[in-house]
Amino acid sequence: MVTPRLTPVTAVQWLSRGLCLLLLLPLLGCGPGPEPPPPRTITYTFDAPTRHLITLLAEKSKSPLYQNFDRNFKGLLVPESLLPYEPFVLGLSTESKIPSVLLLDAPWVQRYGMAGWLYELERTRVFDRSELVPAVAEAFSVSLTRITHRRGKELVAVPTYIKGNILFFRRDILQRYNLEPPRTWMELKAICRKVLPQEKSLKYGLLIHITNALNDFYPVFWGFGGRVFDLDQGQYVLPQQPNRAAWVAALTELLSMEGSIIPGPAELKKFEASGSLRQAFYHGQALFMINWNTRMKDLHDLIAKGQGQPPGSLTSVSQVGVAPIPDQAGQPHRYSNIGSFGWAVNRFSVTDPVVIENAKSFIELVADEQFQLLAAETLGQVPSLKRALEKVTNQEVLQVYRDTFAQKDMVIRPRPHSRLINRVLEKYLQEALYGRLTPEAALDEALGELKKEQGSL
Amino acid sequence: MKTPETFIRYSLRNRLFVLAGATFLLCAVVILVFFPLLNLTLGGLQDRTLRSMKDGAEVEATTIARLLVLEFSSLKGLLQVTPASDTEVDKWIKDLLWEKVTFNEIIEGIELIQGQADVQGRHLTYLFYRREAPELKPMAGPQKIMKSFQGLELDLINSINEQQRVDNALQESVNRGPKQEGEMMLRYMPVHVLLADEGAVYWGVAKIGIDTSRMRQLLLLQSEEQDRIRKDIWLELILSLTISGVMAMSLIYFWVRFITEPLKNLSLVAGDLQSAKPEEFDLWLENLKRVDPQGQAEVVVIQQVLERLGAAVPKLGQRLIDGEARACLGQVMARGLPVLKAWQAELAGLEGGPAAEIRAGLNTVFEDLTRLGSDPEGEWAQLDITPGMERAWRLVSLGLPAEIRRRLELAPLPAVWGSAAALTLAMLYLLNFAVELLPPAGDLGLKAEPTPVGGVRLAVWVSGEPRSPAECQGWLNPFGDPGRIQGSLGPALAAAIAAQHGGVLTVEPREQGGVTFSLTLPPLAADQEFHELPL
Repeated sequence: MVTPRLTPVTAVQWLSRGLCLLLLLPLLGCGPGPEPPPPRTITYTFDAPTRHLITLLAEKSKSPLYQNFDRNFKGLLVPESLLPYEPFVLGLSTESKIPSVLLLDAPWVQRYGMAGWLYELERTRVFDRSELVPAVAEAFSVSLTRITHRRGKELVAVPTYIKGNILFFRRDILQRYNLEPPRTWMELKAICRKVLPQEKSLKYGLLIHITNALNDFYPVFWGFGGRVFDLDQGQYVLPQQPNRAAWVAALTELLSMEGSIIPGPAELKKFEASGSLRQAFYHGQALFMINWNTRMKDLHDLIAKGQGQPPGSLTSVSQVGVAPIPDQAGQPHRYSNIGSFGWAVNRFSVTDPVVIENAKSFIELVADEQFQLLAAETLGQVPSLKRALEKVTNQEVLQVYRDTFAQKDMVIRPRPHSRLINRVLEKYLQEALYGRLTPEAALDEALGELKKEQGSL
Repeated sequence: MKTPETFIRYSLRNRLFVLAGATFLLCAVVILVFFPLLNLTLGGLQDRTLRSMKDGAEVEATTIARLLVLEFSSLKGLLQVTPASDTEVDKWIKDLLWEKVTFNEIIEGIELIQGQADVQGRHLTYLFYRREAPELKPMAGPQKIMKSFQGLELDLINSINEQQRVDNALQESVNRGPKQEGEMMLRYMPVHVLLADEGAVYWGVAKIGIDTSRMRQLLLLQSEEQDRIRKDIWLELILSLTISGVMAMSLIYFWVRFITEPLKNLSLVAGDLQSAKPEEFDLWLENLKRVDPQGQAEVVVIQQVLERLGAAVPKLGQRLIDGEARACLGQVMARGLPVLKAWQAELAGLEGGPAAEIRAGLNTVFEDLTRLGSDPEGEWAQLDITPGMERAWRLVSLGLPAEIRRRLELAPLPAVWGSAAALTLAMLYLLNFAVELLPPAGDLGLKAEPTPVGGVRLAVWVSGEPRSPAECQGWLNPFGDPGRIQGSLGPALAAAIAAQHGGVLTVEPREQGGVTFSLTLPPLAADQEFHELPL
């Protein structure tokens, strides 16, 4: 019997199977691969209010993102005592990778950003600038031309709320006299001259801080067209004539109100204590007050537990109105000295795409809508996200935003980041407010002292 | 594969050896190819190790520099120093440098360079280097000088002064290569003095030299270790290949030898058939049966087929011989029949003496034919071949034309051992074949004479056209060309009969044309001489 031979196709199939087996043989000696490295956790500067809100969100939303927050992100607690020394300057200037994400005050954002220590967030798609209120986004943007050789400003930190000093006023009284909130200092003085003589309970027309008076003075100074630092160029420009003139004019304006509208030098001491301004305003002693916008929440709290207070004290938050700090007549903008903090990414920590992804996740968590809405409802903070602002139900928060930060002529600007400048200017501002130096003399003395320290600027 | 040499060269066993050897060499080459790959891998590993070690050393240097900068950040006195001063602060800073450099083996030196430069571009600098390099003189102690910087280092320091941070790109270019102060890795870090009132105030640059000798030693160690690994692996590879090669070839040799043994034996046995004599055929067949196939199916099949052929060949040969004898007698009778008829016709008209002669002639022919057919089995005995030759001569020459010149030269011959019928047939075959070659008026001769050694030599010659030795040889080997059988089988059968009797038949062309067949028979052996001659 003739039997069929092995066909070539079958032979090829057998050869293929044999080859596959040979190729698989080496796998017999293969063990399990090495264990994958643990996921990179990023470090961030520990911040008590943020931690408080994260805990609240973990409890309320039951979101695993918030519940696993500590597992994914390692907080780095900065002792309060170290903060004045700006401890992160050493790390960032020597390209330390820690911390990966920093919560920075707006002036620090300017300094660190201009030094090239912070990672640009918009171009690198960590955060979309258009989600923020433009005024606050601008305050957290710096020019990185020297570092990246790109023109224009880059967003380098994401603020989670808007904080700035504004003008508080007695809305009930102004309404009683059919007066609008003042746009300029002249208008403010006119209102005071009209109202104060008729409202005996009002002891002062305008209250400003005497401790850290410079924070209140900067918006006034900027409203007169002056600048200490040119943030775009990164130059110290106060000695230049226009700025000197603006400084003198602004300070002269304030001093001209001392005794009649602003407490005189003899009374200023009363307001050195912390909380003295808001107490005086709450007690109905002042028609206007320059203070942080978050004082609206404090006034609300004071009014809420305001039993047994002297007559004339505020009984309702509706008696309080807010507006931008006035400027010099003819100036296009009114200013607020920003007090917001923002989350920034350490440029030197970005050594791996994973790091930037984690940093992005972190910022999305601490700056997201839920987070800001909770802060608005519980802490009275004004959200920095547009979509969060649309959902806020806290009327005081909405009022602050609508009447101040949303005003078209409002500019939110950080104070100069040089603590030396701020310290020296603060010292001579106090001298002038206490009547020991004229505005011109105070400025000359300040500039003279700063010149000595020029190398540190 | 026509010769034994080529058979050896192309035998299955040798081919298997060569194939196994070639396969092993191929595998060895493939394995050896891994060595360059291993070199590449080791090279890559070395590069990666060097890179990681350098990275590690740089990270370490950066960490040390950063820790030093942290210490310098608390030196508030730095903000008070001036080029002209020689205060307690200066001494304090210099002492601090001395402590840092001399108490830390890894720190080779430190420079603290003030950010502000004078009009000549010089920077106030505190410096101290340990300087263990033999070509450098030891530094007396920490110094405070006004120092100028040039080239990339100046760019780097300017960059740090301007941006208050290190620029890795510039630092990389400055950190490489030997330094004036010795072989070390340099780190440049901005120095900020931390003040509670003013925050971090920028002062200048810290230039810190880190000892790299430890890293160089590690690199050398790493390089030596990798060379050793490479040599060891190479040696182990060669050794293992040699051992495995010897083992493999030994095993393959015995294995191939074992499995090819039956085929080889069968081949040798089959090959013997080429040179086997007819009398050796039974032995050949016996040898064929004795080949042990060891269960190899192919060998069994070939062996069985050869055995069947071997059994059939003698029968076929006998039939062939018988057929050839009858054919030969038929040809003889065909030529003699006219003569016999003529004798018969002549005999009818004669009486007396002439008739008796004719009858005697007829009787001789019949007697010769009878003799040829009387001993078909060919009984062997001591005999005189002369009568057989004469009978064959008479039968062949019967009926030949008259113009053919015939010549019979028979000398007294010694007795030989053999079959009279077979030898007569051999004579008849040769003579009949010669007659076929005979030209019309040619010569035909038969000569018999004793050989010097006591044997018998017969020569049958015939004239005719010249013949080539190859043609003559072809008559003896009619199956030489498998494609066809050349002419009569007579010479071949005569040669077979001669060989059967221990003799030999040769054919040679004659110079004058035609051929000569020479049949030589051996003399009687000692044990054959006692047999009687047949009647």
